[in-house]
Amino acid sequence: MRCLVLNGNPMRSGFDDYLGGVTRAIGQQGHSAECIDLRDLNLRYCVGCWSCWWKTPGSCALKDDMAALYPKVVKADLVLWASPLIVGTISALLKKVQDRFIPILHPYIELVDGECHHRFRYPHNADIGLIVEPTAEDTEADLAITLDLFERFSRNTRTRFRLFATTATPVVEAAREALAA
Amino acid sequence: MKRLLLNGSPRGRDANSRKILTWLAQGMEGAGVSLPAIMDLAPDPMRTAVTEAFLDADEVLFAFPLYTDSMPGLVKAFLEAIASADPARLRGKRVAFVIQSGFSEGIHTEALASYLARLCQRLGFTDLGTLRKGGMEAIRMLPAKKVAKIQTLFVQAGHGLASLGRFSPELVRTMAEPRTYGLGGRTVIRVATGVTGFRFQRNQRSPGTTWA
Repeated sequence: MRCLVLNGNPMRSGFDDYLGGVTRAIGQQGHSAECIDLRDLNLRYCVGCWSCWWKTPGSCALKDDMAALYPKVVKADLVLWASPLIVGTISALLKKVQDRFIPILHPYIELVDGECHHRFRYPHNADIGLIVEPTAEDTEADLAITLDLFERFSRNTRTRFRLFATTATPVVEAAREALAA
Repeated sequence: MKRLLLNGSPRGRDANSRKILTWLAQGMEGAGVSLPAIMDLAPDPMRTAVTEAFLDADEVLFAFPLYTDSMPGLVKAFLEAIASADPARLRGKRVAFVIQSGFSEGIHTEALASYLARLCQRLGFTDLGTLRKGGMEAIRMLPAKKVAKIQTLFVQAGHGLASLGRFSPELVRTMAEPRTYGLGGRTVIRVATGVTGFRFQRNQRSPGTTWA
């Protein structure tokens, strides 16, 4: 299984070490695993131009480091999105990357469980998971809202949502849950 | 009272959110409120001019589009910037939100509305309500008559905000409808997506997708 961890931590902290542990634990189970520190990439905000839907289907008009990230995500079997909670939910850095995933969807709509959603562009679509590090200020309500928002992201990207973990989960357990089908 | 109309769309001056703010402002001015010019978060949400305008304002009307059933990254970056300000400059600030989405169903904006309500609690804002309206990308192609109907709703909402001091709960509820489509709506969508199927096939084969 090809696993990708997208680290949306805007500043280096112990959270990076936690993700490093999860990445290694996945590797030790015989899977390929790579952790990408998004803060090191040159990434622009999606500007909602829809070029990736109509002018150059599948390709983003913004020329930056997302170009190397798209193929990695499309080829992965599991993508773990990860972020410390900042003001009660995932970081702006991770959200910026979520916004840039419009090219992997089609503009065309279909009904999914009675809701309108876009079609996925490729034959293969990775499962996803979310790992967060709450602060002392974050409550169960914040975690529930973050989970709801990510569940909506999963529906939007037509992915199977298989893991929601906080850093309170031991590294080995988080890796095991992520790998469980 | 110092007011701020803030457009959180990454499209900046060409945004539907900006158009919505002009409609809301029309309603507020009709209720006797004078308003400043609209400010755009794009292209840089961390500009001191924007964060200071927010922190200085007593009342903020903040409109933005729905991206992946949540706020755009640009808006989140702005919230992170203002959340680190002196809490005294945040407490008691009167804030109203508008989320506008391409999809018509209200279910897409529910989780984000919950987040914004919690954000108000967290930062000590006085929550004036979150208006949610779907089907808004269509205003770029709808006939003028239909756009005028939508405009009227926002003008009413703006008038209500100025006269009641918050968005009318009734309008907040009705503008977010339908939560999901009923049987009739689903049938229309099935037929429409079937008709556009040939474009889907062409798009699928088009360049730019070969690296997968």
